[in-house]
Amino acid sequence: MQEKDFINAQDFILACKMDWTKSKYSSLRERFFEKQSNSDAILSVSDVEKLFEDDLDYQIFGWFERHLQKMKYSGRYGLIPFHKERKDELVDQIKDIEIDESENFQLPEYYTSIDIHQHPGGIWSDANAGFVYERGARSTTPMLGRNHRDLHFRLAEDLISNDAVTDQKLTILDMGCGFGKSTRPIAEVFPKAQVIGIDLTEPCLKLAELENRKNGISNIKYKRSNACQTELEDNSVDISTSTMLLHEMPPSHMNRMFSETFRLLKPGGRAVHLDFWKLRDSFDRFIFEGHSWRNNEPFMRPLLKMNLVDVLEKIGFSEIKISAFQEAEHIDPENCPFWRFPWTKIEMMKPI
Amino acid sequence: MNKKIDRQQQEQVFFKDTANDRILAFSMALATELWVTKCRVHSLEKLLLERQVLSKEELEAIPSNEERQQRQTELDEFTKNLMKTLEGQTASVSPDDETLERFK
Repeated sequence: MQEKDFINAQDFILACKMDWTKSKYSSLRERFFEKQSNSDAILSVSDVEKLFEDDLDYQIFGWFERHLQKMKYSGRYGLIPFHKERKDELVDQIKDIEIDESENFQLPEYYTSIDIHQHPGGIWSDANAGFVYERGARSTTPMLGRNHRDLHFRLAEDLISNDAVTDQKLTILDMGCGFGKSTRPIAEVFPKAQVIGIDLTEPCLKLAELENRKNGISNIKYKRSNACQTELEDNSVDISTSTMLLHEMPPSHMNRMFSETFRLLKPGGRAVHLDFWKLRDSFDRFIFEGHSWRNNEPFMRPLLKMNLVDVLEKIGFSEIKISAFQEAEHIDPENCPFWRFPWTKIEMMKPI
Repeated sequence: MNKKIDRQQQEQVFFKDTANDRILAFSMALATELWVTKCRVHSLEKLLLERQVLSKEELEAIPSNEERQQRQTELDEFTKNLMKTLEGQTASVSPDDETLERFK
């Protein structure tokens, strides 16, 4: 496959996704409010399902959500066949990189049982999976176009609690760091901090380390470790973060991860997770519980239903704040007429 | 021991008649091919005309039999990929009820 054909085909798929994002979603949303007799009523997902039963536009919407992602990864011009043809050349770049690993590290079974977000083989099973994931992530959130700088830098800058903090030698943990897309902005905003990025997938961590070496980044250390069992010392971390991690964990593991965070945070330390949770209305709940199924992200649905405040309070966290997160200046989370992830910032503190 | 993964699963169905799911997949694969080809033709014709290698009339000439035979292997692959969309198979492993129950 020639790269130019791959690029043109992926542009076509992204153009279809943009139409789906702006036109298909918006028209369904408008129809929902027309169908709903009492606009203030809170409907259950099954109530909304009934409203859209036998609705052809909803069927088309669902089909495109599933299949545009499938085409992106597995179609003739998909990320998988494109990178498979270039595997030797790509893997050669990371073959000498060694990543530290926790003792007795094992991939959890929930992680290997499903090809999350329709990535065949997942982001862990193939040596070039990090390259596939990195390329795919450039168009994960269509409203941001090909530039994800906004999202991750906004979170990193949001971590600054006062003017002095960026000058302190903090220890910051980025859980589920993948190939370092969320970690590098944190390291840039906190140049004196020691940033630790942990993830389950070795191919992604190797790619993250490759970026460290290419860009001379010296304040990030990557480690292959489970966020439920980091092996970091008690009371050793000032700030713990994650981006798009919670919705990829079963509730039982998420509870363990929150408890682990509580253990390793210093008293007064904060945890900030960026994920999908706060939904503005019944229609969006229907759409995102459906997305969980259609896009092979089965743990998004239980996350959306979880009483997070209750869970976090039971562990002992205080100052729990959950708020909609504006991923870019031009997007208004409450009034956006187009499909967008329900970005939510979940903050908490370990009491002093 | 980890559960054996079944990589050959039936694709999700969105329409009342599954035929529509498969025909739409076929159409979208075809549309992708069309766009890729249009991009190639556009850039090639632009270069040929700009450099005065070919005239407009030459660009519109019909293909010879020899030219068509040379393309046969590529045509076979093109067709195979289109036809595969009609099989209704997933490319990625989706969660089954048992997995969801175990990790809820």
